[in-house]
Amino acid sequence: MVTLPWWRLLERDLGRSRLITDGIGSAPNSYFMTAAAEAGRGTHVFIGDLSEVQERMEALFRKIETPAMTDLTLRVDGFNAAETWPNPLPDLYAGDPVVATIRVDTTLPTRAIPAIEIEGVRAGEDWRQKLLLADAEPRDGVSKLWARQRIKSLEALRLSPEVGPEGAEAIDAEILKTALDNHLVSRLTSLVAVDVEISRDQNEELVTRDVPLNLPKGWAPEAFFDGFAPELGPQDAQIDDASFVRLAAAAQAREEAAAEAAARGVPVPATAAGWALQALLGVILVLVAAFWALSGRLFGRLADRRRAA
Amino acid sequence: MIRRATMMRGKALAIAALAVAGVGITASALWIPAKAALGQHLLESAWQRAQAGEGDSRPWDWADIRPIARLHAPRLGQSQIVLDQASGEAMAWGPGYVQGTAPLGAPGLSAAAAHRDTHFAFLKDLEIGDVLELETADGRRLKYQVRESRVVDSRLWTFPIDRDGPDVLALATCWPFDVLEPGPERFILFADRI
Repeated sequence: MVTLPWWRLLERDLGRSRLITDGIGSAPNSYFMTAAAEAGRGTHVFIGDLSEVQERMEALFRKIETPAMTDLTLRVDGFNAAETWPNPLPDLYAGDPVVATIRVDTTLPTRAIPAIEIEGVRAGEDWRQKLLLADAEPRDGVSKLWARQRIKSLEALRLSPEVGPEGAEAIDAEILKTALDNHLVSRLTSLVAVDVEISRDQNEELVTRDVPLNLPKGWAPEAFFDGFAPELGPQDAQIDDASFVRLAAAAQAREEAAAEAAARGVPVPATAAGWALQALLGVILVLVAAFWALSGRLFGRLADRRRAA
Repeated sequence: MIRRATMMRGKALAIAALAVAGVGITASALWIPAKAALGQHLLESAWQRAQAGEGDSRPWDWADIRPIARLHAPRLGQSQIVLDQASGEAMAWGPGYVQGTAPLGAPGLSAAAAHRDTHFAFLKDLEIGDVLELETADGRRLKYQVRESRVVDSRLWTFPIDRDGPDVLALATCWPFDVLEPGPERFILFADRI
């Protein structure tokens, strides 16, 4: 990977500098820029619409000029093993929260009261805050957030030159396990939806028919169908009142059809295997072949006899 | 001379192709009654497992059919294992319960169907007043007496939905019995529980 020296350089020589990445237009590699900004403890900005450049860049410069807090560190008390992502933490800028996820091993407690201690430098002065874990509230999705950041970091680690093929395999196994445990989509996992309920009435026969379909906006149906205007679908994809009425009517029609089907009763299955007809056809074919094969010889012999006579 | 030899060879090939096709078609046709007869034997052990109360009584691992009852016609010496559905695949192996009608042996009208030229060919020889016996998977042995037969047009007639009336068993097959081509007419035989 070409980006590798970059990574190394950032980690080693960052010092007091911060890397801020800025992408304008649709071409920039957003994955790389996000990762580089993270490694450089900075922030990233993407501007998709060129008319927004001025405004967004001004906001970015304001933001860079006024970091709310730098040199953020995070310590976990009360447990011997804790995993924190991202590592190191980025600086805090106005309007851009720093989200860190931590996993602790609750089987290895220490004597200290479980707490998270955050330190940083704010306006040239040290800032320190302690959050007691006893005050924390459980929330869904925290583990997923942690797992996602862990996978991201592992993927980055996998690219370093120190990691050989065996190391890459071990990291892949870690990524796979993290993704499976947390039901996440990753490079190695995907989600599969399985519908176990059969919603179609098994007694109903399948039908094939044309369904109304719209042409792309601005295309005239007359130009395509030789003056024949096919049935068009709803002209407006938005659900307005009229669409609701139509949907309700369709639902009611379906219900009525189902009720009618119930009143109609159960159809009688087709019950002729038809093997005798098929067998007869086969036998006729064999007889035709036999007759054809013999006829040549028969007529040939008759002709010989006539010639002899 | 060369042309004559080529023509001869072409003719021989055509004859061979005809003969092979004929034999193939006949064999695949005869496979249908063979499968119908074979199927009942293959289903025997699955039926015994179903009677023993085993939940998964599929006759073979990849089967999507399972035996749910056994139908006897004592006077004709007929005995057939009935499958849980009357789809084309199921009816290749045995008579099928018509899904949507009342469960076999329960109140209301329940129906079973089979091909007229395999399993239900014997319906032709049943008479009004004949006794049929239905063995269910839960071990009951129910008796039915043939009440009436009717020929219906399957495009117009359907099994009425009746789930709480008296227990009636309807057996359905194609009509007429001795023609070769399939048609819309069906022969329905109604038997009342006695």
